[in-house]
Amino acid sequence: MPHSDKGLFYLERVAYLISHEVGTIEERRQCAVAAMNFLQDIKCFDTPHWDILNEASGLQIDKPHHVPSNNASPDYDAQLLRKVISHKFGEAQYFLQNKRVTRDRYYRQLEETIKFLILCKNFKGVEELEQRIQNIVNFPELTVKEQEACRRIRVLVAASFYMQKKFFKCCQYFFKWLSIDPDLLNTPPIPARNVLLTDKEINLMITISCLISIPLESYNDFIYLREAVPFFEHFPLCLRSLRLLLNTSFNKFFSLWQGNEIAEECLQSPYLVDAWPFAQLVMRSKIYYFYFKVSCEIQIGYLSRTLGIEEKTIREDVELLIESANLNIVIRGDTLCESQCRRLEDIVVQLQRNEREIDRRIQEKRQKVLELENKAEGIIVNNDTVNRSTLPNSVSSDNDTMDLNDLTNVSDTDSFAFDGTS
Amino acid sequence: MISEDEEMQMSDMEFESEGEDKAGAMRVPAAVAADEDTRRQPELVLEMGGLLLNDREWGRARALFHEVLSNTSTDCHVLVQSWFHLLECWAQEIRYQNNINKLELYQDCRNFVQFLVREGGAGLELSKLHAILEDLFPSVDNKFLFDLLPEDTHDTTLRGIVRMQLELCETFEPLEHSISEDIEELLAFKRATARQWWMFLEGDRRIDLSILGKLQRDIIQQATLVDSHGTEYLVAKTNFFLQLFISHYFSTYSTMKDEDDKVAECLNVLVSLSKRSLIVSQDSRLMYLYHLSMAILSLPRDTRDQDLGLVTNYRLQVESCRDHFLKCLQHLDQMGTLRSLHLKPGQFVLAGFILTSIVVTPYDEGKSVNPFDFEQLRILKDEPIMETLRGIYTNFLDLKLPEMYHYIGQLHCVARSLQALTSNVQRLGQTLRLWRRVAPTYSSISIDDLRQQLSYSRALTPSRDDILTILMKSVLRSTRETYFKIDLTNDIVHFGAEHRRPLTDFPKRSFALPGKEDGPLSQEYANDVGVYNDAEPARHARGAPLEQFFQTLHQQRDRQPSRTAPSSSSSNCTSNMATIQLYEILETMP
Repeated sequence: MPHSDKGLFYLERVAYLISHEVGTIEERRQCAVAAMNFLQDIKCFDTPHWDILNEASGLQIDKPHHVPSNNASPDYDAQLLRKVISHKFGEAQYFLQNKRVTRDRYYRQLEETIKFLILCKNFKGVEELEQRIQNIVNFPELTVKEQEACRRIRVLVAASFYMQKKFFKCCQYFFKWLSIDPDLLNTPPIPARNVLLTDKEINLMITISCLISIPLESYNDFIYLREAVPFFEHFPLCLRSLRLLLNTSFNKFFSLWQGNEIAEECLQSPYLVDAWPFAQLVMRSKIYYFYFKVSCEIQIGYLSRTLGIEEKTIREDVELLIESANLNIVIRGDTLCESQCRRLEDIVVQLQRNEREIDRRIQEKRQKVLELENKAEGIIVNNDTVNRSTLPNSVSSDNDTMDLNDLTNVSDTDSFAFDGTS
Repeated sequence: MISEDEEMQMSDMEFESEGEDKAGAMRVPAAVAADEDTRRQPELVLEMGGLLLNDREWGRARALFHEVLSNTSTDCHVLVQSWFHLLECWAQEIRYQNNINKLELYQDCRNFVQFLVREGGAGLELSKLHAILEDLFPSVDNKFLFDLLPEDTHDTTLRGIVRMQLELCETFEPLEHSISEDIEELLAFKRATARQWWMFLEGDRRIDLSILGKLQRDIIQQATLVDSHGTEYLVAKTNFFLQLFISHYFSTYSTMKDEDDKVAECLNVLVSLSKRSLIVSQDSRLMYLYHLSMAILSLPRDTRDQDLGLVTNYRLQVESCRDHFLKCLQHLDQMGTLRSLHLKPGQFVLAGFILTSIVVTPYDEGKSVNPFDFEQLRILKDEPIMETLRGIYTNFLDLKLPEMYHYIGQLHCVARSLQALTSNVQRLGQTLRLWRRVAPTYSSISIDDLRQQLSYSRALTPSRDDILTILMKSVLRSTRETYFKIDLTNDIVHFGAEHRRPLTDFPKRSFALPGKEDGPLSQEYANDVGVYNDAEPARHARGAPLEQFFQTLHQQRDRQPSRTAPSSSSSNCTSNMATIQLYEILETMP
């Protein structure tokens, strides 16, 4: 179809940029006009973004009520496009599932599907789709175009993990395929209107995921992995950040992190932005936690100056961290210090006291039972010798033994349970 | 054909050397001698001359060749042959004799050039001409360009050789544009070489960088062609190129920044040549140049530059650098010039070897050999620089920082080229002193006192931030040898196993971000922050595949750590791994 170079993904992106007021008014207007043109090109106006696009473009077009449907030419792609533009994702999915594809276009079709799934944030669908490309036995026999499609799908799957805030999984998946297939990132550019995620966005997703999910203590190992060398050539920002962190230049790192190379890009991308606040929180907490590990007493003001993070933010983050992990750290005014009282130790002390108490009572009971038993035996012996007809009920003596066994069993399990809790 | 003038000249010469001529004639076959009364056949004379040449009777051989050349009826082919023989004669004389008649040489060469210009290059065996010209300009092989001292400018022998080469270059200049590109290129190279030597002899130590660049391109290009003129010429070029490169390094203390890769490429050419040819691999001079260049290339640079480049494994880099320095010493020994180590490049090699040995010592886990035990160093034990180096080495082992610094200050002339290396040694000294001397003996120490402990001199006392950086990096790189906690409010560092306490006593499954119902997200947060893996950071095999690296991390994340109370048995986390990694603290120091 002779579209302009703008496409569906562009439309969605523009809608995001406008609703989040990214860029100047003029920039937004130009983008909106381009998006409106695209809609008019394909004669589809049924998008939930119509109003904001219309307003931002300043065109003030009345939304055509009745869309002249070109049922005359039931072009499959055009119909699907309409469904997606109008956010009828369910229908679109049905559509996609029933599409017949020839074998030699199979993976390219999957690529279209995964883009659509990511667009509507159907990550479960992404996961299901991923199963289908896990083991491609005849990968080398595929045509070049199909191989490239496979590679792009894999990168998109990794990106989907980022969007779900599963940063580690993002890395693990990405690097698994990168080490299997070093050409993973060497796919030729595709037409702009087919681009769901720009290279820059993918780059940032992987970089952020690496910084967050690789433990600080493993950074050093990571940057010296031989296999990672080509990776860092592709991802210089990642290497730069890792170096700053490794050199404990946290302040510089955070100004890079919060600056226009990372933070701003994240806020401008509809695919990066959702996970970004969480990513920031984790990254900050990671550094606080590092400080907790190396210091026993530290002032929030000092941290704030060293890291270049506002005191208020630090206080909130640290409170969250302490509370969720039950850290042995207390905030005294401006100072964070290791707490002397250890909460769990108190509990243990109490539990031990309970255990002793229970032991004591069991012991008492056992003693009593033993006495009773002895008594009973004594009586039996006496009775035997004196008078058989006055025997006490033998059943009762049986009962006593039963009790004794029960008690032993119970006490055993109980003490075991205490051990487990402590 | 030959002009009358020349004919006269030549017959004069013939006359002069007639006595010799006769003596030579006695040895030629009887058939030839029998024909003596008539004019001798030029072919036979040529043959006789060839035999004399083989016997190294150069003077008499030359006379015979002149005879052929003066014979007007001589066939053109024979003429060319005798010219080649004549020049061959001169080439041998230049190589084996100190005093040659230079005027005669120049005259013969001029005549040859005239002959060629007149006859044109048609039918000429170009490869033979190339080989002969190469032989006429033997490279200076008793000295290196970078080894020239100010007093060498008065070295008359050396000056004589270089002068002669310049003169010959001028004589052959008309050939440059008339014969072939190869010849032109050869002569240009010879002229550039001679000019560079002359400049150095005149005390001007600038390097013409354009020549360096051109040589680089030539070498790489020529290496791809299958020996057009044999490997000899390529080797000569590489030889001179490396001398230029090293001279440039010693005059500027910097390599040519972006050119490093190209130098490395040239060195690869040399390696592949040496694999094919025993002559190359047995050439100590050439191998010395190779290892010296490699050492310069792998020498740790100013670490501030490192952010620009990609990651290299620091330890492997220093280790290979050390090996190259050692090879340099061995080749110097083979060349018999080990004792001339008072020259700067020699001192550079010596000091470089010792300093790189110091840096790699801790990696060897006690298996390392004392660098002073090497045969080559034992010979040199009385050299003045050895005392300085020994001072650095022993004080490093004893971790006496100010004493070590005192000796480092005496490195003088090599201090600048080895600056990055010495500052590495200094940082390493501080780190080792912290973990080997301070941490085991103090349970608490103020940061101020620690600064004094790790100080080299009043001016070189680490700042508070330096100390904190050293401490924190040791955690980041898992290189601390003792657990510690810093009281950042009162600036005190506490050492000891009791500081190995988990920060939480609660199990991992109890972790929950308040206000967030999403359980998996909480677990992601806990894992990413690393709340539960502080007890034992994941260990990754060096150079492990990426996938395995993440597999290890994955296992670490899935692990449910046992939250046992700290026991005294886990007191020291000293492990070989930790020690090994300790030294990587140097790698990316700002």
